[in-house]
Amino acid sequence: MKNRLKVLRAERDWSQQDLAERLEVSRQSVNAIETGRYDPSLPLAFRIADIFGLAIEEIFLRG
Amino acid sequence: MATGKKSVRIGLAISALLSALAILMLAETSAIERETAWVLAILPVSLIALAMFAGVRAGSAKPAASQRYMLRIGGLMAFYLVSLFAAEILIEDRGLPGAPAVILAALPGLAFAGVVWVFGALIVEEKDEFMRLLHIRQGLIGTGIALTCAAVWGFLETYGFVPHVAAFWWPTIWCFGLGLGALANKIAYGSWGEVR
Repeated sequence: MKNRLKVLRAERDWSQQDLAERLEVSRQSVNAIETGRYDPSLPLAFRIADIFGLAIEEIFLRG
Repeated sequence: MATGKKSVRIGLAISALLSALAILMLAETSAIERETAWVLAILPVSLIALAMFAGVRAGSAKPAASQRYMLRIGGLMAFYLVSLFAAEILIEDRGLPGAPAVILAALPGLAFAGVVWVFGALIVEEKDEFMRLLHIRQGLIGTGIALTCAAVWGFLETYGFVPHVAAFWWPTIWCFGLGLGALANKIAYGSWGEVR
């Protein structure tokens, strides 16, 4: 699943580690999600959306 | 956190020391063949070394579940080596008879079984869902490799194509299979996982 995590991070000048600490997950997790290798669970997707103040579908894209 | 890290370091240091001691004593006393002693000691020493390497790489960001895993593995490997050494000396050399010998002979195997329990506990306690996925993949790959080897070897042995091997090699292969599982994770997901 495609996503806009890298762009959203860059807009806030956050590193993968910064985002990982906010989400309370490993940096590897953020990297795997960002590169589309791993699709997060719905609870984690909601946490990501909350941190960016966006809806899930504004971060994760179909296809 | 600092206390936990200190405990891990102490546990690993004790385990490494006992490992080195056990290797030396097993070879020195000729309780078992020198080659066998080295082979039996490779696994715990490798696990401890890898756990220490992982701990050094991760530094203070190490999650609690992985810290507990390393501490438990270190303790189990120390118990494994001590029980193996005790069995070699008391049963093989001094001829300990009866039920105490049976119990003592079972202890190294139970320590090995503990590795499976500890790995299961890591999966249960891991809070990071991606890391949990990697652990589960590692476990399944290790299990698949070990059971495949056991099944194929068993039939080859039944029909006389290969010699008999001791059953403790199958959990040993499972542990090495975890390492291959970590490699498979790196290829598929770009991460080795916390535990190799």
